[in-house]
Parts: sequence; C-alpha cells; structure tokens
Amino acid sequence: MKLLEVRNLVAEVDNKQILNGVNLTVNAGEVHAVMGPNGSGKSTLSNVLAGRPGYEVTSGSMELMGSPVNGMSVEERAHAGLFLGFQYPIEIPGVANMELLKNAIDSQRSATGEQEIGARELIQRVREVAKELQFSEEFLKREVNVGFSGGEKKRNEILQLMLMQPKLAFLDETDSGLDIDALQVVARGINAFSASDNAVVLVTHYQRLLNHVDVDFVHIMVNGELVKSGGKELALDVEARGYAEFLRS
Amino acid sequence: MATRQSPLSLRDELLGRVLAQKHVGSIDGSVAKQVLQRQGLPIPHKGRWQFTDLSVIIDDAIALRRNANLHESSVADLNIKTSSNVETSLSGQMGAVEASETGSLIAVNGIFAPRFVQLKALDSADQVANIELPNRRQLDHYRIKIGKHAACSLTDKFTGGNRVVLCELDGGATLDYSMVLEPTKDISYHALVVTMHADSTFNLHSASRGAKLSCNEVVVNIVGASATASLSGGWHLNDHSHSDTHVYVNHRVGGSTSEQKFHGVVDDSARSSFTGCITIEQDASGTEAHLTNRNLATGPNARAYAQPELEIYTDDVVCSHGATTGQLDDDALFLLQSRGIAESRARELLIRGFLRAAVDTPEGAKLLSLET
Ligand SMILES: Nc1ncnc2c1ncn2[C@@H]1O[C@H](COP(=O)(O)OP(=O)(O)OP(=O)(O)O)[C@@H](O)[C@H]1O
Ligand SMILES: [Mg+2]
Repeated sequence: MKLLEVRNLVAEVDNKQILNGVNLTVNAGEVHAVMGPNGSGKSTLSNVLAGRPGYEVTSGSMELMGSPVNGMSVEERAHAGLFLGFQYPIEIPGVANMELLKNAIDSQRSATGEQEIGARELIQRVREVAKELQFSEEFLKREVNVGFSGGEKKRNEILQLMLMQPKLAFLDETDSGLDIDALQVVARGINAFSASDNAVVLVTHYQRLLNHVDVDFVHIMVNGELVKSGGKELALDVEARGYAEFLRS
Repeated sequence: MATRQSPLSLRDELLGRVLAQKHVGSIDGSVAKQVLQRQGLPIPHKGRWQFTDLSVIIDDAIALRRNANLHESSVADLNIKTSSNVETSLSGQMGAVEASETGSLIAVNGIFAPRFVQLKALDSADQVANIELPNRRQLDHYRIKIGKHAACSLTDKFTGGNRVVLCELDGGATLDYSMVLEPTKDISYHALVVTMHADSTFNLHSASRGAKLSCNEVVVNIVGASATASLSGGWHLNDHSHSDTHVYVNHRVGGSTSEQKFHGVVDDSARSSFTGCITIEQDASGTEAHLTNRNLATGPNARAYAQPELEIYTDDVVCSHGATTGQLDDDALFLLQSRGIAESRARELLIRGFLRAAVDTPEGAKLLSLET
C-alpha cells in the first residue's frame, strides 16, 4: 500500500523556490533514508509535507494514504497518519510533556470518534515506552523540551512517535547530536516502531544510523531534488566520496 | 460638534463631583477628604492614567456610595471569615490615613466607605492566621495589621466594586495574599497598600479575568531592612474588557529585596495596561529589585501596553526591569498541531503555559483555567 506519494513537487518559502520537483514514493513496510548536503531542502520537504505555514506548494502533488494533502490543515495531516520528527525540537514553556502526550493522543482519538485516554492507561503506556527509551520519569513531568539536552530532545521525539503510532514517520535528523549509546536507543525505538503496515523516512547525514536501522532505500537530495536513489550501498558511497559528483551534474 | 473637555478642566470637575457628595461623616472620612483636597486628582487621560477613564471609576464610587448599606453596624454583618487569632473591629478613629497619600483614588474610597474594617493578626501566634474577605459589590475599606512574627494567609476574592485594603506588616511578619479578581461586566477598582517593616515577608499571588473596566493598584512601601516582597500575577482578558494595573514598589530603606513577575494575555478586543514602578530612595542602598512583565496579545484587536519605570536615587543596588508584548509562538503552535492538536486547543495550551509561569496558587489556577 502506498503511504506517501510525492510527484514533481515544487515549493517555495518566502517566495524563494526551494524544492524543484521532488518525486518520492513510500510503501507500507519500507524504511527510507534521505541524505544530502546542507541546505539542499530536506527539512523543507518535511515541513511542506506537514503543512507548516509559510511553505507553499506551487506545483506537483502529495498524497498521504491515497488522499491529496493539499488543503489539509496541519492537524488533519497528523490525523491522516503523518508524524514529523523535528530537526530542532523547540521548547514549550509551561506545557508539561505529559500534557502534550495526552492532548496528542486524545486529539487523534477524537478524530476517529474514540474516547479520551484514561489517566491510568496513559501513564502505563508512557511508562513502558519511556523505559524502552531509557527516559527517566522525571522527563514526563517536565515542560516540553525545556532545559533538555540536545540528545534528550531527540529522544523525546521518539517517545512521541512511539506513543502516537502514526502510519508514516518522517524523521528529520533525529540521529544528529546523539552520543553512541543514545543513537542505539533511538535506533531501537525506530526498529520497534517499524512494521509491515507503516513506514519510516529518515533524514540523516550519517551512514552510521544505517548500521542500526535496516533501510530499504537511500535517496540523495541535491538542490531541492532527489537526484539519485539506491540501496544501502549508496549511503556508503556518499560517506566515502561526498556529494561532489551529484553537485556537478 | 461638541468640543472635548480639556484634561485639566475634567480633573477639576471630577474633584468637585467627589467633594459635593455628602460623606458618611466619620473622622476617617473627613481626614481622607483633606488628603484628597491637598493632593487633587491625577490628570485624566495623561501619563499613568492615559489608558483608564478616571471619571468612570469615580462615578462608580459615587453610585456605590449612594447605594451603600449604612445599617450594617456589627462585624458579624460583614461576613468576614477569620481564624481565632485575628481580631476584628469597626473604625472609629484610626487616625492615620497616611497610607491614603499613596493615591487619590484611595482617598476617594476613604471618603465614601461607610466604615473602615480593622483586622489584626495577633503577634507571635503559633498558628497561621486566616482571613477571607467577603466578596460583594460595595465600597470596602480594610486595614489589616499583621503582628510581630505572625504569619497570615489572606484570600481576597473580588467581583467588581470599589475596595481598598491597607496592610501593615510588623517586624518579622509574613503575609501570603491571594487576590482573585473574578470576571465581571461591572466596574472594578481595587487597591492594595502594604507597608513592610524589618524582616517581614510579603507574597502577592494575583489572578484576574478582567472587567468592563478594572483598575488595580498595588503599592508596597518597604520601610524596614531585610524585608522580602514577591509579587506575581496573571490576567486573561476577553471580549472588550479592559484592565489597568499599577504596581509601585518603594524601597525607602536598604537591604531589602523585591521581585515582580506579571504575565498578561489579552484576547479578542481586550485592552490591558501595566505600569510597574520601582523606586529606590536615597537611603536604600543594598537593595535588590526586579520586575518582569510579559504580555501576549492573542486577539485580532487586542492591545497590551507596558510601561516599566525605574527611579533610583542611590548607588549599590541590583535592579532589573523588562517588559515585552508579543504574540503566540508560531513554531510552538506548529509543533502542537503537527501532533494532531487542533489549533484552538494548541493556542489554549500555550496560553496556559504562559500564565502558569506567573500564577502559582490553586485559586489563581482555577480562575484562569490552568489546571491540567
Ligand atoms: N524562511 C526561509 N527563507 C528563505 N530561505 C529559506 C527559508 N527557510 C529555508 N530556506 C533555505 O532553503 C534551503 C533549504 O533549507 P533546508 O532547511 O530545507 O535544508 P536541509 O537540507 O534541511 O539542510 P540541513 O542539512 O543543514 O538541515 C536553504 O538554502 C535555506 O537557507
Ligand atoms: Mg535540515
């Protein structure tokens, strides 16, 4: 089943064209990696997908679970099954982590006509996941990302991912800034999430994540386009030789 | 076309309007009248009073005076709840109206209030004294003394009217003051004046939902060393409500600390203004004083004005003040929405988070719907 289909996507930010015709198809059960030089448009693609204000699609199309996303609000895209892992998770003072999780889960439930999650069920599920991610319970009470280290913020993204169980996880550099142990923890989280009925897109700069997560496809983004796709070996190539050959073309 | 009255002639006319009223005739009332005559009223529509229509407050005070119940003759009639270590009495002759000098509107209340209520938390009591002021739309005037080394917790719920509370904290006394200004379509004038002697501690926790016109004055006079004043509060205004908050912290002697933190949210077409003034007098070296006021304007026609003022007449002080007015953080909104949370709910969460930083009592949290 096609979870995501992006065709000839052209998009701009502040009237500046950044995406120049992106094509990407992601099926259920697949794990993709998107690599590419700084500024090539990887985060822009994730923001455009999620519907961030200020990012405008000028042509091309995007479909989530077979439905066009254009015209869908940010929250509707989330309800449709999209999850965006942020490259730079921001701090939200005054809002507790637990409060964010409850609201996120409840809004998902209300979109499908389900009842709110009970306090006990919520805490049980959160505790389980937190344990898997070696995230102490203290973090659950704290304000979202406030005073979290870079690595803790990334782990918090994975915590949200695992609790929300989306169909398509688009993770923007969730592996950046992690120490070796944390990288393994995060990779375990991604592996635990990954299943035959969902899919993961990992934006990454480092081949090392791919030592821990089995990816099916690697794409190279240059100048707002996915210029080459291949298997795992493509990541090794890039690691060895950089992006020079793609930039020349 | 009618010519607009000049602010100066409006002020004189207002003063005349007040003085023309028959006051209750208590000694306190006549002293307050002298104070007002000496001080005059502030100039309407100018300076600190540019955002609040003084005449509305004064006319409301006059109307309340007309309808005042002069027959409540005993303390019991007033419905004040206190613990047993608090003495309550009606004035007489308090004499000292000096505190009224801090503001002419306080003197206006003093002229019209049918009675002054005196409360005293006894010196060095073993238990924390409790005081709960009755909530009624009246002209209220309270004088509260917290005795030496006494600790008192005071709840002041108010839904419009005209109320003045003068507090004096004796040496080593502690006062925890919870001020809850409930939403009302009426006019609300509330003034709190606190005089702090050495080693005393004053904690103000305030929360407000606004009124048709709400004017809140808080004056803290620190007259003893090693006193600690901590003032915090939040307001959330909707519709066309208007709230004007004036906070004056006066360090008359050195070696004391004050801290202020006020967060306000204005939605819809609401207006807020905040004047926070720290004065550090000549003899007050070794003072530490801080003030922050942050405002969020979330409505299309909402406006928040902030005017922090700092007057320092001595060296060797640590002082900071800052005021900001902004909008909800778009990135935070996007993050919440990307987690499936509807925009309206996401805004609510962010507003709550913003107010929580300045509102830390259960009563305040309840008023502003900050509970999880
Ligand atoms: N608001 C904006 N206004 C103008 N240019 C922008 C804006 N946002 C992004 N860009 C530009 O778009 C380009 C792509 O940025 P993007 O963040 O998508 O790159 P990236 O591939 O994620 O890079 P990195 O690997 O460094 O995270 C960059 O040149 C960036 O400067
Ligand atoms: Mg990026």
